[in-house]
Amino acid sequence: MKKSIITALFAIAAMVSVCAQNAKFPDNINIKTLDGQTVTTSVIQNDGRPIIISFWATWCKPCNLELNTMKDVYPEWQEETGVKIVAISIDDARSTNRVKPHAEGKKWPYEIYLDPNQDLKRAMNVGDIPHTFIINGKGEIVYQHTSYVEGDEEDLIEKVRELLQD
Amino acid sequence: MKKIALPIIMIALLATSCDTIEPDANGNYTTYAGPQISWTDGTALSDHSHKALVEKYTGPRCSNCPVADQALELAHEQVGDRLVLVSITHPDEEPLGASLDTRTDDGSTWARFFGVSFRPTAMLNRTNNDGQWDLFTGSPAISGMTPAIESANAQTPLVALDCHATQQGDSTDITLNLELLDAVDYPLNITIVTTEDSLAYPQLTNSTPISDYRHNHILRQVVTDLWGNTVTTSAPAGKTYQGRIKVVLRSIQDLQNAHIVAFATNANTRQVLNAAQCSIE
Amino acid sequence: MRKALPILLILSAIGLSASAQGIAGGHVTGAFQTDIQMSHADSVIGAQDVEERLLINTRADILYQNGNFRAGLRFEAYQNPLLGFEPKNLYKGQGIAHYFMNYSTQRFSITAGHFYEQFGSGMILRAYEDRYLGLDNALLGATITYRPVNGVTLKAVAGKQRYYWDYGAGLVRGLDAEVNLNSVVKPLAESPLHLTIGAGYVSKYEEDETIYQPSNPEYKLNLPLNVGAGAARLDLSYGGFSLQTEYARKGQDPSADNDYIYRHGEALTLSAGYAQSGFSAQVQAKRVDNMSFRSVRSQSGQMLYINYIPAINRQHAYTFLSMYPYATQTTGEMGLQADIIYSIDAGTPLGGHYGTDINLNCAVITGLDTTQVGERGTEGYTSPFFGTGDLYYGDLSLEVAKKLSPKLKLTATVAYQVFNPIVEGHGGDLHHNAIAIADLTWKVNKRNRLRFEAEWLGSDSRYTAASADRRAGDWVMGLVEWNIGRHWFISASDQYAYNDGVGNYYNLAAGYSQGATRLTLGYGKQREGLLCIGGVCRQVPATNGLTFSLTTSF
Repeated sequence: MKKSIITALFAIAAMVSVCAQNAKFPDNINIKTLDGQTVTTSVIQNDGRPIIISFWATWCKPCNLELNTMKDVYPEWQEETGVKIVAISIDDARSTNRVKPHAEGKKWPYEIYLDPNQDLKRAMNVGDIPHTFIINGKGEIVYQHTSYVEGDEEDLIEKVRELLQD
Repeated sequence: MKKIALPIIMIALLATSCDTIEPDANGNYTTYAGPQISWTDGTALSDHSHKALVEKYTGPRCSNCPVADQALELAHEQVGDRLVLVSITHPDEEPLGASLDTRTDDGSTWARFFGVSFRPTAMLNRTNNDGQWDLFTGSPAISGMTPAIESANAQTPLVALDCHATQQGDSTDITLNLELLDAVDYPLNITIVTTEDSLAYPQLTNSTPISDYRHNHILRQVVTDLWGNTVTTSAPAGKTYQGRIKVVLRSIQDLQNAHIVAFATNANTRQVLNAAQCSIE
Repeated sequence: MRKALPILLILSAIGLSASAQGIAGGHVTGAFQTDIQMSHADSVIGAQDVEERLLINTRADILYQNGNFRAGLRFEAYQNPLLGFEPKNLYKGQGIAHYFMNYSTQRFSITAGHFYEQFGSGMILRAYEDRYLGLDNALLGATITYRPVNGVTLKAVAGKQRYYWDYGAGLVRGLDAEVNLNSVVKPLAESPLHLTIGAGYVSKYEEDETIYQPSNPEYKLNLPLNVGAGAARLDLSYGGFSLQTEYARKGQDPSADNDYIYRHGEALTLSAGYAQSGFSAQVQAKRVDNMSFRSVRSQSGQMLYINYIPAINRQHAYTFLSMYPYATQTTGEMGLQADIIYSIDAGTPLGGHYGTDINLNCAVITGLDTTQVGERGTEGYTSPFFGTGDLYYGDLSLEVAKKLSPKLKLTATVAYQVFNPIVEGHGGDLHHNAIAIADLTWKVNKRNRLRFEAEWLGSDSRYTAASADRRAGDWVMGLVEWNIGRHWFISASDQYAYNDGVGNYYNLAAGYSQGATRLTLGYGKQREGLLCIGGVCRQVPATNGLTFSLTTSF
């Protein structure tokens, strides 16, 4: 039994190392809009420009800190790079109803989606939040980062700038 | 629109995959799972006499009940052991103060089934007249039951029944002997109950209440299912049966004052065909 | 456990797709987490001795994706489980706890293996996992999601629920349909009124068992083998106004939770609010009556719930605010919550130079007004729809967040709580708690950030040996957190019960974070208490010692 697990893990590790490209952002996972409509993640588009995906929840303090801090610099970022920030809330049924008032109350300008069944969270191997990803113009995951301290958002915009130079 | 109709139909179909259980008259969603009488072949009985079963609905707040009790004791003296008495405390009879509550769920079910509301009310062999249960309502009517009892006992019964009971440690071993005196083509049921004498608790009377009134023949437990265990639905005259059942009796305060009462009924008409009473040895 | 088969299946699937499209077509991603605890006894705080010395919880998720195909598995090891994951003998072990294969297109998705699913807000079905609660009621079976047109989502599920390393005996099957009327009804397409409706039905099958009625021991309960629950929901928004409501109804479900009564179950949640830029107000109401729905009727505790009833009070993040957490009473409760968020603009007298955020929240939860009609095997009780019973929980909190200068930000919270110990199963008087919290972050320079947190809890409860509730009494807490550069942090905190309380809980922690990897090391005493996530709680015992945690995603 243990042998088969080890062989499986080796095979997987081998495949990971051979993997030439980056993992792709899944475009067939069901998520919900703030209006309660179920859509697939294919609606997250930015015309070939980079996208920042941030997983958050209303009760997560560092997530709120990250999104509040980015709010102030977002207009500059957009002008410079055309990057789009998409915030995915993993709030469950207890606080799903608070997501829209919370975002409106804090004046967040982002595209916000709900992931109450946590399908996208699992598909992107998110454990603890905040967990932030950068998707390049081809839909590939090129960067990910967990936890947040003030200043981390500068790493994000640096990476986005790098992508645009490619 | 069609695409929405399909899921609605599917949900409706799935909605039928849900069990709904109906309650019995007492609001219980239960089925009998207690001990059953096991029947084997028996021997003929010597005593083919008919014993009348009189069920009296009574209670501690029923002030006319002591008079009815006395009347039935008188009838007992006249008729001897050919009268089997069971005293059922009516569901609406709340105990006085914190005294002994001798109501039973089964007794209450019978009271409601037979439409007994007034206390005291008595029934003789659960007879039925054109869809109406024969009820002797009030102590005067009960006092005048003796002729009816004697008339019932004068007729040859359809079955002969006797019982023996011994106590083995915690459990009581009950043996019944049954002989069919006439052919049977209906479900023949046997019901076993326990009654207890000399239960002291307050009783209202027509004058002053008696705080330690001794109640006799009080129904304590219906050992079998409420309407009895079926012995047979078709058998010739002369067939004999022996039934055995072993139970741990509940509620009995003093086994010396307890009796086992067994009675045979026609499960369709619910009429009592014969009764037997025995003490626990 | 038949673990070899699923691994072989996944390997062959990977192998097949790899050979058909080349390995470049598919990708393997995953996450890994391990928590190690070394705790030793401490009689003052009630920490028990740990004979294994080292307790380890580990999990590894592996996900393979190739175009529309996805397969994954999760390996879990509890060798032995951390304190608080009880019962230990059921948690401990290791193996592939979760495996699945999925094929999804834009219209259609089919999964075989383990899966998670939620219908509406979960009141009739929610299969989910929460690693910190040690809760995983994934369904093992199959599920299909079909979206025939934009705006219509149909789901079908069937399976058995996970129970530690085994599966519950009950079979669960369900159907759900959701329609977004704006997409489907032409005239509404451009309307400012957004409307989504949904309905679902879940039914469970379990074999018969013998349960007797205590007052009539010869009578056994006539148990329904198929138990169904249905729900209908509505989600409406118009400009800044929004309304969400869901009503669920469950058929006869005699189970250990309700002491085997035949009363139907019902729950209603209603949420109405208004939100505009800088201001939002929301009111939520809830009634839950006998809505504990499990796949095995004799199960108690946290496992084998088919549904999930959300808690109606706010999820608090600060330590003292969540010291007396409220756990949803699925057997019956009535709740009301009101919440106001207001952002005062910068430059105004009240807002100050940088603006101020205010959040006012109030919640009240009571039991039901019940009248007993019978015991086990009967209807049980009746309860008028709008009646309320004993107070279970109440809280009122005001949070003000204000940036004092470019480097200083202060968040101050005051709250008042009333807590009835009956929600945790103990008797006793209501606890009344007053709480004050100050949270100050100071950006010292580009590389260093400091955070100071001071909390105070004043309670009218006192510690007695009889109640053995170590939370009782008055508390103060101080915490300092130092974030160095982008990767490191160090923190020190202490919770002290002054005034006849019990315990001095100090804690030191340090951690390193890089990309998606995070390491933390902590040492100190941890108070026993409840860890509650979403209203579902796990009892965490007192611990005293070292903890190490590593998480990474790849």
